[in-house]
Amino acid sequence: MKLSVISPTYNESENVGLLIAALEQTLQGMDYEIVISDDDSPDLTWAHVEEIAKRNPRVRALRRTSNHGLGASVVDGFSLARGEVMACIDADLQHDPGILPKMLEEFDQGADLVVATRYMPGGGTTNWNPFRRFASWIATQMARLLLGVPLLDPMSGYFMLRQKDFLRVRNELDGQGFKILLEIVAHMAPRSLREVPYTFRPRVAGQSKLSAKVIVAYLRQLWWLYAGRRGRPHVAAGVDHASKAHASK
Amino acid sequence: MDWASYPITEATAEQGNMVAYRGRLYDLRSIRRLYASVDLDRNLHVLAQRFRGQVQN
Repeated sequence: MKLSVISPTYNESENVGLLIAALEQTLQGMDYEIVISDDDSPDLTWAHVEEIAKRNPRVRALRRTSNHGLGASVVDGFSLARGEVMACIDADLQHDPGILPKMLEEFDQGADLVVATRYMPGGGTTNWNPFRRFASWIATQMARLLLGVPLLDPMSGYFMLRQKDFLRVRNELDGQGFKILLEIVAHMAPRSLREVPYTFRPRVAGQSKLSAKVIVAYLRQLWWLYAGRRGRPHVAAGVDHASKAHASK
Repeated sequence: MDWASYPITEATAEQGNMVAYRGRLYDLRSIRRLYASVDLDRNLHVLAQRFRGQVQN
């Protein structure tokens, strides 16, 4: 199988059907699976996906009854995925599934890790108030400064990597943090990072998971990665921004 | 087999004559990752249980 699209969910029953439909539309004609990794949602997101899976064998529902959390959910989804290449995407439709073919194209051109970014020409955020923009900017700068991650959007939850690369670093991932991409980049030290622009869209339904608790968890994760960085090779990969690459075509 | 001890479950509807549903059970919490599966008929009677020590990737 070529591609596994993994989406970690918690109380996303209103959105998950729309996400699956959008992914099917984008990926038609390709060899893929959709893995919904659900934290035993009280709104029965996992059961909703199981119903969809009865009609669509490309869809899988993982019901996680312990070790809850966004990072751990992504790690479990990646661990049980069957694709050679794996993508992580939010279920709330804030990530545009339409750029997945472009991200996959970057792999065919030699990328080790492809990250969808809001902060380059062609990308952006909609309906964010100035405080949220500023908080996101601070968090991004901290990650770049402390971890030396050469990404415009290290906070992105929308990215793609090969399964063999994930398996190589899986046992080193703590999975307790909110931003699993940071951990993966810090441990994987990819040689070729590429970024593809997208516009972060407003949530279609349901409630945002962003809270003070999440911000504290992010700061703890950042500190933990910074403290552990001394024993690892510095992430010094060159970044090829897809917008530039595509603009030159 | 203690199904409840597995923290991840995946249930699928099957097209077989006997097997109507298959439950896949995973435990990825330690280095030694565990995998088991159980086959059920339409009345949710257990037809078969399988256990494997490692999840295959």
